[in-house]
Amino acid sequence: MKAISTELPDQIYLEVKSLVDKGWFKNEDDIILEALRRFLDTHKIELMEKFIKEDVEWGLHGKD
Amino acid sequence: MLNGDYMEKTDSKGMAVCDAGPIIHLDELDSLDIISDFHPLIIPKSVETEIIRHRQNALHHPGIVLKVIEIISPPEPRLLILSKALSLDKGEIESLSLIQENPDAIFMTDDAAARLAGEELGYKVHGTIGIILRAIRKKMRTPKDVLELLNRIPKETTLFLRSALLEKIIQKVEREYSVKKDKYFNALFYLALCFLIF
Repeated sequence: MKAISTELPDQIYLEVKSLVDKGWFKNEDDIILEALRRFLDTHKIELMEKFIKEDVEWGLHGKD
Repeated sequence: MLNGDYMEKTDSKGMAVCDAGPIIHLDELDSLDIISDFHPLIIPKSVETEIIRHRQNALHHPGIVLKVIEIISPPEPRLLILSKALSLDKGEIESLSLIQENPDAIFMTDDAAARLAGEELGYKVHGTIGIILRAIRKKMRTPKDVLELLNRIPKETTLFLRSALLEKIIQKVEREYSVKKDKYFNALFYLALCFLIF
């Protein structure tokens, strides 16, 4: 396991803390891990690059 | 920000459904006016809440006709399956529900999973980069203005983009519109001057 430290905007931290306080998660770490896992599952590098390249073509040469 | 030949807007008044990302990112660049030709710009209530949380003033841009819709009915089965498979959040699911009711509209999102779902369902989906580049085509910004916006993305926005990919996009715009960076012109000028003197 690796440890990382980061800064969260106040509002996001309050929402994370609220989920822990209300008993939905054991602690803040569990929420961040779950959020990261979900993000990584659905945000593959190749896919994001493909979408950006399609966007560039549409932006410069699209019809609508 | 509009100048010269680029003052005249087109009259294409298409409809768009927008997720929070593009509105937040364009507001960070003080450029929400480049989506002002979408009439109406539809957002679900959950996206409005998300925008308020991050960029409250974005919802009060004078040039934008925003239509906020509260989604009451659950998503249709295919969208429900996709949303679970792709872990879409409430705003993304509700935006996709809205695009299903307005299939000719453009769906604007910067989230790869939401975009994947939108394209899978057969809709036109675009993100902030495409919208910024479109501003040249729609004569809302000059190519030079757009290059300036692209260069500001890493420092001034929360839009995540690989720097090498952003550089490629910048080079493509420079190539297609024959825009050279001033610094290259300056370097060439001084090189020619030195050559003449010596």
